[in-house]
Amino acid sequence: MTNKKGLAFIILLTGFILSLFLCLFYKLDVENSQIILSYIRIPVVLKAIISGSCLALAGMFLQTISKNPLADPYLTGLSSGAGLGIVISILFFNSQNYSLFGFFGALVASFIVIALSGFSKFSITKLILIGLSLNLFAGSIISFLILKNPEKSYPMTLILTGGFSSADYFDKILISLFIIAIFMCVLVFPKLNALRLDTRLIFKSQENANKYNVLFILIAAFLTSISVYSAGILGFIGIICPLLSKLIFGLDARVLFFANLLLGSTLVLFSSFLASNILYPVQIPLGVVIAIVGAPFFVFFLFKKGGILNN
Amino acid sequence: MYKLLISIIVTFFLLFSSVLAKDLSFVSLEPSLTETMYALGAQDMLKAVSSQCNHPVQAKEKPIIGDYYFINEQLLFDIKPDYFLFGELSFFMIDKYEQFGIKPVYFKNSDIESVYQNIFVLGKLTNKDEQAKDLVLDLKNKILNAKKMNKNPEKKILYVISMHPFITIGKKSFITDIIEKSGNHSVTKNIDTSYPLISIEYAISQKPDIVLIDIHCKDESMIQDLFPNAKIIKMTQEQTDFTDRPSIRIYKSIEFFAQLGND
Repeated sequence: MTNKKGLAFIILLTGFILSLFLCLFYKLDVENSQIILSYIRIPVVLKAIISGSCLALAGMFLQTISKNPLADPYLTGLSSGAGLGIVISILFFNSQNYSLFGFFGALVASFIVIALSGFSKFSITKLILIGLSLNLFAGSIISFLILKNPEKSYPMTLILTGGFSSADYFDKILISLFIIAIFMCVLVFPKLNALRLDTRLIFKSQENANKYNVLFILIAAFLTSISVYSAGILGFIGIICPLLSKLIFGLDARVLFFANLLLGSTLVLFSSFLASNILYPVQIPLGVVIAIVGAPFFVFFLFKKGGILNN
Repeated sequence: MYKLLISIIVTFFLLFSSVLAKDLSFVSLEPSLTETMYALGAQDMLKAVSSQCNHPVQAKEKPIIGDYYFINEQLLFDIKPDYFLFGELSFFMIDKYEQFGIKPVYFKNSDIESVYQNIFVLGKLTNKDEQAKDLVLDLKNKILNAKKMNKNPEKKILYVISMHPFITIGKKSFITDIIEKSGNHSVTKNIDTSYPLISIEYAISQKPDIVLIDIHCKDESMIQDLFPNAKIIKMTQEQTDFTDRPSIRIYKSIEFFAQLGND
């Protein structure tokens, strides 16, 4: 790692620690500190780290294998699958644990899209188009269900914009899933360097390359589903973090893995801090803050010299 | 002789106005307005109601015109009512019916004063001004009596609509007005919206004496942990039914909120 990259890594780490500190201790009410820390702030910090790093890693996997800088973790119809799971849980099961339904909805949607894309005759274009169709299909059902239940439309809309409001605070399942996903990533990410290149030169056959493509898409879907479980549907993180980390740290997947973990966590932590404090005591939905912060960032890097458009 | 003449003229006008009133027809999208129509004795003029209109029970027997966002337009044009009564939620979609001769009438439901105003407006539209005046007078007396039930006033109340996400009532909610009129205080009364999404930390810092949990809110155990010194009250379906609705039953809401701190 060059000095410049080393410095960037230190800045990133400092940003992470600062965001963590702000989320945990900013204006902490001393009198009720134990309740606030254990029930509100620590669970939020954990969820922010899990959702941010999962989305960033999923985005990195998908952008690498599709060789498309605009590939998004929700590519496989996952967001609408998650949204439908959440809406069904609220309307038909009256459940506060809607994020668990979102997790399963996201997983089911991903498996449907990947299966329809064909394992042996797999192609990214087919995946994107089937994912798009599923998004439109499930999206329209979500809209219909929300409009048919006006008394619950307000909380449902808030939940669908993303945030840490789910009842599954400090959830052991969530932490276990995250550890499993990170372990899977550690096992497979060295292969990502190979998939970055022309797969015809690296793998003996296209079929062999497809196996790895499908494997990475499945892991990306799993990571994104964990993020949905943790924070609902959050946009931008899965696009911005892989792009930004690639611009700063280069193309080595081993370095990018840690960079994305840190960058994703930091962005979600800091956005969560802003969402809670800009209009305090009113909360801005986290998804809204991330989109407001993320969109100008995205445009900036799009037009920056040596940026996305010039890569 | 002239007394007889006056009696004939008065009878003629009463008959004429009742004939006019009978011809009027209404459709209501708001449960609270449907309740008021019944209380005014104008239920026969009400030709259809929304799927949310469940009080009084007879209202359920009326044809369903739709809900806040979906209107059965075929039924609406079959009925072709003179007036289409609606509230805030349907504000953006009703005006278009005016071109077909169906007059939309918007009713605001932000505080108790607006409930009185709504009764007067409906009284005027249904030619039942006298009944409307009596109804408002009766309601004011009931509210006055309800306030007197508060033996231990100035309690700080946190009204939780939803725990995940944490939604409560703000300045523009009529429930805030009812809590204040009952002699107690809503801890979120200064937040300048109707139903804000707020920080739980803020709610904790306000140290409420009573936390009221809406019927749909499930996670009571967490609320007990977050507010260990507060009295936690889970509302029943019946209580939610009248506290949620700015109708002629608001005196019941005031009775309910006034008696919260009495135990």
